[in-house]
Amino acid sequence: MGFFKEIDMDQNDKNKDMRGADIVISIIFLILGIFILIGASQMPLTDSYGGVDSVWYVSPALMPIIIGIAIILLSISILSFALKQGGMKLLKESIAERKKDILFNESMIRMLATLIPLFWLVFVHLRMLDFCIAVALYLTFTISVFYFEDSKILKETLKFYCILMIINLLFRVTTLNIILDGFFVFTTDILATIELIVLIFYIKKKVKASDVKNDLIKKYHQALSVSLITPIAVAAIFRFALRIPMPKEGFIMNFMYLIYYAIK
Amino acid sequence: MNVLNQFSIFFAQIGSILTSPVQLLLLFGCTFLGIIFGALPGLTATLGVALLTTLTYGMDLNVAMVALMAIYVGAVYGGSFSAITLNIPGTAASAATAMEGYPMAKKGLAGKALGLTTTASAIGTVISIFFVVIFIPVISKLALQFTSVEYFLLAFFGILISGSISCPDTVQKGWLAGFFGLFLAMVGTDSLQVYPRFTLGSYALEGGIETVPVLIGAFGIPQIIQVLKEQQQPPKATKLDKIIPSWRSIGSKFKHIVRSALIGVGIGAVPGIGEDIAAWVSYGTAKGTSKTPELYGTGCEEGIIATEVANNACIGGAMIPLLSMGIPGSPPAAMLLGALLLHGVSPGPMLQIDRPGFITEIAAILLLASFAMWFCGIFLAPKVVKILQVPPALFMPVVGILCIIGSYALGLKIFNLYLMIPMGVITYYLVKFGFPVPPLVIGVILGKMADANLRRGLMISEGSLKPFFTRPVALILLIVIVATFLTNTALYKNLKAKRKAKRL
Repeated sequence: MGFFKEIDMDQNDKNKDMRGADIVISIIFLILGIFILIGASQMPLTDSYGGVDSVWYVSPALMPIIIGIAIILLSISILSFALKQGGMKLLKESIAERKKDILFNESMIRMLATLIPLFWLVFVHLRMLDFCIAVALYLTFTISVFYFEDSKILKETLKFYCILMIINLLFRVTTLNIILDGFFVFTTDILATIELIVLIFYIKKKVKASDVKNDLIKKYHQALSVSLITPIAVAAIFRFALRIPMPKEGFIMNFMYLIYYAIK
Repeated sequence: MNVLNQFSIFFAQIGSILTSPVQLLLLFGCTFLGIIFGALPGLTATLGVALLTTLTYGMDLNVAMVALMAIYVGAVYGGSFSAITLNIPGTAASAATAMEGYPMAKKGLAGKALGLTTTASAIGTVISIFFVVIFIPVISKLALQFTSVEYFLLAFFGILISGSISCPDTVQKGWLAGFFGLFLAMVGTDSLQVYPRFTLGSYALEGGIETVPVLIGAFGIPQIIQVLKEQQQPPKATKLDKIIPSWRSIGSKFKHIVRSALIGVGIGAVPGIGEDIAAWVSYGTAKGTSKTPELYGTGCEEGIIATEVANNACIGGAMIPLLSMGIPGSPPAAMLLGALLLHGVSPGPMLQIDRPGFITEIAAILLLASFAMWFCGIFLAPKVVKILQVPPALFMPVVGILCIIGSYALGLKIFNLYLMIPMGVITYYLVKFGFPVPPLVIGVILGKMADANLRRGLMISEGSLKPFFTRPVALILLIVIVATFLTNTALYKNLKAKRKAKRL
């Protein structure tokens, strides 16, 4: 489908590396386009819905059909352009390189260290733990490992963080958190605080064992300050100044309420 | 409303801001915050406006607009700080500034370069205010004559043109991103027949995908991933001497300023195209028309003025389609649209009738914001340069938390976060593989409008496509859409090549 203008040679060369990935992305979009058309075909087009006789031009399927067709045509266009530009060869080379490379290379580990805590915070911790503790856990890990710029510490702390999170998950899966909260309302928060303290000490241990200990000690203190002050400041601004309730208000938030009302 | 009334509203607004300590503090505070957002690589004007939107939710509309316009103006200008002192453009719009600003800084003229960018940016914003005041009422009056067909075509044109111009790779990718955005807008209950579309049986999706969390996800999360994933050494800034406003240099380049401002306003007014394109086009034009093009790249003052006037003039330009038709002119303006809707303001031709004087009030805020920007730029520059030394690994995770709490705060829905994070990751990969974000965002924002107006238009004509060809504005828009499409085809390229060969 060479209908569309082929880009200038300079730009073409610059973006040539993308052609392998273009094949994968265009196929994903092609599937999305088909999904949209299938979804649209199930919507009322000319039949009646909710007691109202429909006509094609009022149908809720009209726009999705246009979008679905456009996505399919554009995906085919990108796919054919990528194939013409040697995208398949590039894709094979890229897969071969990946196979040769260690599965968890430096870049992949950094990506995982960015995404795992973020997903964990949003999908698990925010609903399970007090907002301040959940955010402190996220920040302590993320700021420390990326600020230190030490790949050994990053790898080891990521492993340790994952172990802590698995323990956390076990609590949730076995509903042990609900049982324990039945005995004392903030048990899960207290356990998470213990996890946070363990994580802080683990990072400190790694920093002390590092070759560039003196450099890292200063960074460790800065990272820790930002990690622990930020959740308190954010919670105070949003909860007490903007009156926005936090996703979960537990141990720390209740403590903040006590201080707030004592001052007020 | 007559001119005298407009003037009285304009000066009343200025007086009300200047006499209110809270608004004055917000004006300067948010402008400074905007400068920091613009200056720090990884943070953008759009993200700044997005995060502040969540904080202004409980504020009075007028106060909220002061904060939002101030951060917008500050952030567009702020990119020049890191561009000049670090050679790292804080925003895409300031990439062209780095071409001339950094060589000047290397010569020991960082203060002069910053003085030029500060004054040029302020002038660019002020000039664009005239266009806001003059053009919005005219376009709004014209837009009152628009029917559903014109609105559908306008939305479609916005997506198509933004996909064509903002795409770093093949044009199809830009359009595909736009259609993907349109698809996201289709999720939820349809407005005409209340039919749930692509909700996958989820009640949470029936209300549709909320725009603000999607925008925060699309502009915030990819930046966080990118900055943290790439190893970043703390930047070392060039030594900064005293900031000199350089009025004489600016005054001698009046022609350049006017031309650059016109480019900025013009590009800003095109839906979905932002400050970065305006800056580059203006820089290219300045270089192309210069008598000494060989000086460009070595620290040329004209180049700095051209880029900075244009990218700040783009602010006013972007406000024109936003306030007159409800179509955002740039990504930060798209975020402003979300903020206005949150505050119960529906931008469009009816705005002049629903809220007479609102546009004049915005113009007054823009004028004060440009003064605040000039003041902060000249007197607080050393503080900004100090903040620039903060390693991104220290503040990016904090920005992540602000994105999370900001998205949650809008409607107190955890579900917003479940949308925001995957949307951020998807956008990260799309950007990585050459897909632009602006058409995607424009698609999400204009999708519902395009859908409802297409069907409404066809309902009125009982399924006939005749209004697309018989209504003058619709026909013009249709011709522009077809022309945009055709100029990106191989057929057009071959014809052009043949003509060129014939001429030779």
